[in-house]
Amino acid sequence: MKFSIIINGAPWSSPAAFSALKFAEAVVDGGHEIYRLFFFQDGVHNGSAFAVAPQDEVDIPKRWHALISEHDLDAVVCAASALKHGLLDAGEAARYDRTGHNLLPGFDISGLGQLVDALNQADRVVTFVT
Amino acid sequence: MSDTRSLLILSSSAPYASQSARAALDVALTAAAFEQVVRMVFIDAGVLQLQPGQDNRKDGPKSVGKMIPALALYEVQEVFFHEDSARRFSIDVSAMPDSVTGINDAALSELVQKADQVMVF
Amino acid sequence: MILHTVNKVAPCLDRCMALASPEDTILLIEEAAYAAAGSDSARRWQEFPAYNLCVLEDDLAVRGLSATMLPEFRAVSWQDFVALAASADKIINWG
Repeated sequence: MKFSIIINGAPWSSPAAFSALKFAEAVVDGGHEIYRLFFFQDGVHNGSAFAVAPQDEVDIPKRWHALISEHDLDAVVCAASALKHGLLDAGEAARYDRTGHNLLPGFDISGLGQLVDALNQADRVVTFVT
Repeated sequence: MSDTRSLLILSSSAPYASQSARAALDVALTAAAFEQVVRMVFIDAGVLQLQPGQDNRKDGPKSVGKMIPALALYEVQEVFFHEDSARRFSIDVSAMPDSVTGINDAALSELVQKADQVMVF
Repeated sequence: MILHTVNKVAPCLDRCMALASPEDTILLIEEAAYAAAGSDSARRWQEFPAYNLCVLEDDLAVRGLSATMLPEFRAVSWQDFVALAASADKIINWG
């Protein structure tokens, strides 16, 4: 089965991000494929390279990064949400004249068209909402 | 897009609260632009997005109500308000945009069963 | 069969229950786990036809609800959640 997983919540702000992570890991462990991870609205914060998790809490962005790298997953951060919430890659930082960029490697900024594509191409779509 | 699937969006959040109301509209418009068959239902607190007379201030949030007539313009197939929700939230149905029609529980159930994808905002 | 996931009790669980049909599965996650445990929650499910009711075992455990899970419910793992999603026709996530 090909899954698309949509994540609308920021790490630790609500259970959504961690639930999505656990589900995504279980999808891969179960031998299924993840077509796309789509981070939308506050979910863009899961791609933060600057988040510092407390030692006694799950490092959610790091776990996503590991999952994405290990399985070469397509991880998209919604452009409109990313800009609003200040999650920028080098290109966007240059375009908007910001002093730095903070998106983890493996996360790509793209438009809502990628969400529509994720809905169309997957066998199953699961959304984790706040 | 090679595939066309039907997408039903249930917009259940009040406007000017979280980003959910705007997000639902953005997804509906994008999916329609990519030629998906999109239907939208305003339900529960979501009917508050249809409240007439939303007076948008220059120094204030972007209008949600003004985006709704755009749905039909950009080829969202059908736009509904849930009748029972409109009653509960005292929305004046006579003042709604022409492109938005009422839907009852039975018809809504059928839409939910038939859609390829359902997203709740 | 539709898999409904619900992550809060009010208002989305009521809406999900109003729209779900007898062949569907309802999986309570996160805060909605509270509706799967305790005598107060039992009332909600008494009138409700015996749809396939599940709750994420992790969300029960973390909230101290494992001992009072209602008999109508089946506690499921993350792997079970994936299997439920794979066997459903589609998934609707209520929140």
